[in-house]
Amino acid sequence: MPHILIVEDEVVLSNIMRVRLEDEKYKVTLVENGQDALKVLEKNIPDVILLDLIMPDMDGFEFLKEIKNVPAYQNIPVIVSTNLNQEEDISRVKSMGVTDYVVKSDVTMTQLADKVTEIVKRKTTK
Amino acid sequence: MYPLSSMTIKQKSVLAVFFVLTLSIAILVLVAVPMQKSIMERLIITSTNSFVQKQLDFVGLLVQYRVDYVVDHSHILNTSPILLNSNNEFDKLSNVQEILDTGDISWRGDESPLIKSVMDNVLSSELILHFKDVGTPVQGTYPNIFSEVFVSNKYGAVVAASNKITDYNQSDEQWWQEAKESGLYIGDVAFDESSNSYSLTIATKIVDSDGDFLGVLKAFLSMDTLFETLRNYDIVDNDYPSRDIILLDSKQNIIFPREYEDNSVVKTFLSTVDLSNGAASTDTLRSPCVEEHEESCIYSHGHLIKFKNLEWTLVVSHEEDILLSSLKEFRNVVVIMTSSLIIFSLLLFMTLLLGITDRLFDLLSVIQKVSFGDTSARVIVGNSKDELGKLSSGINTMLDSIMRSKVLENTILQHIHYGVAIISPLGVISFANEALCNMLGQTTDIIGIKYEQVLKFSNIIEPEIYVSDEFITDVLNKITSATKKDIYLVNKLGTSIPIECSVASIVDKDSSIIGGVIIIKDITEERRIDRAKSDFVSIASHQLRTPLASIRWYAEALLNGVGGIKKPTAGQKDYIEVIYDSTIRIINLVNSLLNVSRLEVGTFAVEPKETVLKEVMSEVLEGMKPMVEQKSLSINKICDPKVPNVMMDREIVGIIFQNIVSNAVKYTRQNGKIEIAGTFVTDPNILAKIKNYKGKTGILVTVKDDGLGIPLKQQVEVFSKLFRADNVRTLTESGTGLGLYTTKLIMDSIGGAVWFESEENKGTTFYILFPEGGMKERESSKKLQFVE
Repeated sequence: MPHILIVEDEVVLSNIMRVRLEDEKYKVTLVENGQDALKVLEKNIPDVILLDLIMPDMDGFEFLKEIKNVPAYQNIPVIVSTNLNQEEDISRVKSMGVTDYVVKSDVTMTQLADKVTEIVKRKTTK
Repeated sequence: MYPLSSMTIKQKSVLAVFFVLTLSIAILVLVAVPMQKSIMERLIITSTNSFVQKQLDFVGLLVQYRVDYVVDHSHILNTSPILLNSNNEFDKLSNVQEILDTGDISWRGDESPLIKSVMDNVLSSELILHFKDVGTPVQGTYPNIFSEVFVSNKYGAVVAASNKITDYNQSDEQWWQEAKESGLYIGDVAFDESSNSYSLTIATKIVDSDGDFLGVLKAFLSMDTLFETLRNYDIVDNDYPSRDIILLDSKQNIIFPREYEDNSVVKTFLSTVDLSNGAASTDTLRSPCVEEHEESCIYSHGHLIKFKNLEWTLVVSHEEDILLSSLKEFRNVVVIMTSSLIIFSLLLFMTLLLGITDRLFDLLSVIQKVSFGDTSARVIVGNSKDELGKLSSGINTMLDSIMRSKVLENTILQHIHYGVAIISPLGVISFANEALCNMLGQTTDIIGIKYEQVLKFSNIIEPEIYVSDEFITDVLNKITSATKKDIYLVNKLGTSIPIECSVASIVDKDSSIIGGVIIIKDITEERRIDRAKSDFVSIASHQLRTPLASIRWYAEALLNGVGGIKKPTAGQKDYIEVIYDSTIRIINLVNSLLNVSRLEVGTFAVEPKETVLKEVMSEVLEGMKPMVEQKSLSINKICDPKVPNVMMDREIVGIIFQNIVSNAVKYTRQNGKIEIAGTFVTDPNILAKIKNYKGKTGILVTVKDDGLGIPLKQQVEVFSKLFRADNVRTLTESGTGLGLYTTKLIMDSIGGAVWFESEENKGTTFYILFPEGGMKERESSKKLQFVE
């Protein structure tokens, strides 16, 4: 069962997304900040990370920086799922090697789930 | 070429006055003097005539009275008691009657100086008395009026004589007979040897109380007195001394002066003069009087006496020069007077003129000072109330008013927050206000230096790239104006100030460029505010998105039934769909607002790539497919193959197409028709009609619908923010009111154009004109977002 890590401080959003992804038969882990996410990574390497950018303690940018420094984490596909839609943010995180970037309000959960599925499929076929 | 035009007023006026005065003198001398001369001559002739007449009267009287006295005293001889009652010698004459009768005169043969003396004395004293009575001027006594006197009896025998009695019978003499017959005989003037003088012979008969003939009295009237009198006329009349006085007898013989008697020159001249009447004549004559004199003379003549056979004529000549001396004097006076007048007039005129020209020079110098910028210069008016005084006051008033407006201008220019500089056609700064100096960090005066030395610009997005100051040079080369937005002014201290720079040519009345004005607006604050606004919108939109995403996702979850939740019933589904659609509308609104904010700040990114417009349009239409199908709209697409591919930001083109086409789709009724056309416009006449469009060609995209149309009265507001037409508001169709506003902002920013034609209930046609050059790249952190 593919493992999806959702890093999102807005629990309301992460909860419903978890439900949606579980419908797709994924194992979903929820954390509310980068710090906690790193702890999860220590135990388990997820197949896809859905990462919010604006979070307390450790935000998405810092988290990305951290994982890109750790060879074991470097190749984990990351879909940035945020409400920031400024080009500077987009290009910043894209330069940090994220797989995709979505603005939460502009996509349906289905669209997001499809992106996850696509990545998982791509991974398994490799 | 025109010396007059190069002369000063002073020179011209002096010349004019000199000319006028010289002309008047010339007229005076050439016309007035000859006229005056002729008048003078006439006056002189008249006065000499009267003078001659006076002389004639006098001389005439002198002779006449003498003759009369001789006649009268012939009677006295008969009756005079003086002669009868005298001493011894007089006794001898006691009875002249008797003596005359008898011829027995005891003193016969004796010289009788006594008788002569008596007769002389009696006659002369009587004559003097008479002349005194008649008021004729007499000088002294008249000695020897009669040079000789004879008395003869009725037989012709001399009975008495002033000299020796000659013993011959006088009755044979013609004079004796004539005296006896007619009572009076007057002879010629002849030289009498006995008295050694010229005399006139007069003979008169002596009669008794009964009138019987007694004898004849013969007297020689001495001409000495007359000649003396005539000679003295020159002395008498000093004003007009005569050159010659000539007395002629009836036979034209010269009686006086005797020295002319045989002068053939005088005689010849006199023969040429018409002496028949008393008129005066002027003749230029070589003077016959004195050989060495050659003056021209004026001759006057008149009859001296007309008595019996006595017809004497007096000719008087005056030297013309002397007579006309007063005219000469007059001429001299005229010349002197007019010369003095010229000098005086010139002096007066020069004084006046100098006063005027000096003041004009004052005016000129003030005007020059003012033209060099010294507006404090004023004309000194003083108490002058004349035209120049008024002009000076007028100029001062004008200068005051200029000064006031200059002060006002300066105050405005100095205290305005914009940096203002005025440059000469060569680019030298002639004025710079405080704000500009502050912006430039220049403490020293920048006036007099070339603008390019202090005004340096750089790109606001890439500050290391300098921006050419060509737009400033342009206004000095041709009449134009320009505004350069969003550039940095790099000052001396290396600070970059975001500015907006407006430049314009300064043009004089002849449309020649006399400089340029540069106005620099520091837009730091505007940019800060814009940024803050933009940031606010960004943050707000971010904050809004989280709850909006929640609503969207949960509504989606409900609709689709996630995590074991059952799918909603048909009724529930409708309601949840409303929630879902409304959320989408809010999200679109938020995104649109973000776009608008970025457009307004003008800092959205443009990433041009070669774009096939047809493809973009197809993609947009694809997105609208559900609605198009729902409304059963027929969409007709035509694209001119000439439409080139251009460098454009696909996403921005998409946003524009989306805004225009979605309106057409939204506001067209069921089964409506939409025509979309792409054409390549090269006709300059068409392009020239498009406001603010500067391109030479363009790609025109036309979107025509037969929908609701825009009410005429609202058509002016179509491109304003949050505009929604009244006739569509009532419809349930969604719309942010930002689409056309966004489109307009984009088209303006890329140098394109958008406009429309619409008629309510008939439909609307939107025109989008893209510049042939496509879009220019612009880097920015902010991208415009496609809003469905």
